Amino acid sequence: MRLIVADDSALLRDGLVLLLTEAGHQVVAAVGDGPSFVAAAAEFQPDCSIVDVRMPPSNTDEGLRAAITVRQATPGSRIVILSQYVEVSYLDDLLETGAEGIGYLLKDRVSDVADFLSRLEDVAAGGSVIDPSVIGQLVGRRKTQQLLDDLTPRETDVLSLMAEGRTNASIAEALVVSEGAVEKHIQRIFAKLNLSPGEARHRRITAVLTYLGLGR
Amino acid sequence: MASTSFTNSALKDRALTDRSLSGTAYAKSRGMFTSRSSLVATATAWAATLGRRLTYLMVGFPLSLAAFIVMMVGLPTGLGTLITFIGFPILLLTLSAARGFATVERTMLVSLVDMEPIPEPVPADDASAGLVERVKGLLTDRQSWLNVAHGVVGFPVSVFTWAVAVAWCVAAVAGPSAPIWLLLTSDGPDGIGPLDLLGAGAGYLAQSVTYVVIGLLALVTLPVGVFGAAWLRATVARSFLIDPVVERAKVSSLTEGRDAARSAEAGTFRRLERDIHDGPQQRLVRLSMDLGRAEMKASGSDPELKEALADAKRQTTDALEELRALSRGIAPPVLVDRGLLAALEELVQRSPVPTTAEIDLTQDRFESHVESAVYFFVSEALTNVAKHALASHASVKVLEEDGHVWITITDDGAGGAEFTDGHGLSGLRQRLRSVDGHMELNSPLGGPTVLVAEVPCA
Repeated sequence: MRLIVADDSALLRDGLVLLLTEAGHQVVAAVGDGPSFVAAAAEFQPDCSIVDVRMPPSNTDEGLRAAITVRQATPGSRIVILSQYVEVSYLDDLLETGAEGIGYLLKDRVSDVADFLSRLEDVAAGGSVIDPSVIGQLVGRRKTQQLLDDLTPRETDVLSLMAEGRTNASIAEALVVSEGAVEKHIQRIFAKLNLSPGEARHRRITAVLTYLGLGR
Repeated sequence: MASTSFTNSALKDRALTDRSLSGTAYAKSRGMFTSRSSLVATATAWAATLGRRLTYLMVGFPLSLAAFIVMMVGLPTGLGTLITFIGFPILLLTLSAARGFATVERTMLVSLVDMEPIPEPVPADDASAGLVERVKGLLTDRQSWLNVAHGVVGFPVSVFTWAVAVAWCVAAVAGPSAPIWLLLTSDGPDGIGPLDLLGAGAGYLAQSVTYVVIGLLALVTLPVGVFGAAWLRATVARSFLIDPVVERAKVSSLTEGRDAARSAEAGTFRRLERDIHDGPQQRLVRLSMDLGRAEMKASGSDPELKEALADAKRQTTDALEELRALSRGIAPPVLVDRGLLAALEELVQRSPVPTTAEIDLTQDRFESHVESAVYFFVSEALTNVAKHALASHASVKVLEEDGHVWITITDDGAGGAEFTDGHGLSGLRQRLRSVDGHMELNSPLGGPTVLVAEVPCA
């Protein structure tokens, strides 16, 4: 694969480039800040990019914002966000550009090289890869498995399509049902997963992550 | 720094007030062993100090009289006619005059009574401010009214101390010279003198001796009288005109110091978090990557080697996990990078007890100590709920209103929470106190528990 690595720490950038090159991938650009990444992504149109969150110039969530910019400029760009911390609100922003071809992982996951490389392939193929610890944060001790067991096969189908980042209309089309029926399924899924309307902002994501977390 | 220097100056002040007395006494006691010229110098210095104290009392009297008249005329007139527009300027003029008298008095305290000057200019004496501000400053400044109070209270003190000093001086001069003026008075040596009026009729000699003895006594004790009177007048003046100013400066410098320390602390924590992130954390991640690569290359070789590598990797990952927990406790990255709203949402999401949130903040970022205080309050409170409350649901409400952040945390648990030493709730209260915040707890047995906290953020 042709890849871009964006990380402000030369130590980690070099480490990643080494690891990816040894695995037979081609790193077409290795950059150290947000704007450079946006420029490189536009220039090289890579198969996938690996981006650090905290980068110059703002040194806060620069990488995340750059990733969103890139995905808005070139919809469907595959991006794996690597961070020392995974936070739900970051993922939230990321998923606003769609769930397809998105990865959000803790940096330590790279040490499981084989696993990391296969997740990279998943994202490049359009899948979503979310760090288990995010799911841990979201669903906490809410006995996820048990909750998912309560779903009907049809509801599970709807949830799996939601996890692909599809809209309600697209889900309706795929399952050959009306959009209203899909909406009803989704409400029932929310109810079964104990997602109260008070948590509106995160409900859809939480549902998807519950699914993804167990899909691993 | 500032606060220490104030304490020092206050001490010096006291020492200085007494300096001339004790210093001269010390010099005098040594005088007999030193040369004549130094004895003369000591006596001159002593006399000069005495002269300055006397000047203070003598000049002070007409000054106090003038101030008293201005206050007694200006204040009732100004206040009495305040309802018409003319009272207001009269009041302002009176306050300005009082401020002027106070300035003169302070100058005298420094130059004639050897008090330490006020370290900072008296607040609200700012001539560069606009007219409205100056008027407002004059009216709202506590010191303005203390100046007026001194104008009123200082007068009787001044009259008394002035009278004491004058009487002492007269006795000291008139007594020893009695044999002369008794002869010079029109009645001659056999006339009626003051002593006769007391019924102790006596001749010229007896009168002269009596007056001379009294006069000498007065002369010897003249310093006591003058220094005492000056001390009394100065102490009263000081309590109105110097101590409150110094006190206020001290308080404001303490407050400034506290604010500086607080934001420095928050800044240090954030820097520490960054240093951990950029330093050991990066190295450990790189180490884990390299171990991962090594593991890949070792595939198919000695299983013990693979085992050892996997072990090393696990240790590295654990170390990273611990570092992350540490950083969260020091300065949560999400709080540092994205502000309070995102950080609070994160906390609510992470809460082991299902929690709903209602957060309404008008600004994205607050001062770092406010952000930290609110964040850690909510964090600790939710941890407490999970640990002790046996709750099935909690709610977090964070609202910003009138320069305060209000936090309400409710749970449907068993209740009965209280402040006990070492318990999380006491820690919360102490933490809030450091940012001028407050909290209240309502937790009847059987629940629900409501925790309300307030943090000033303006």
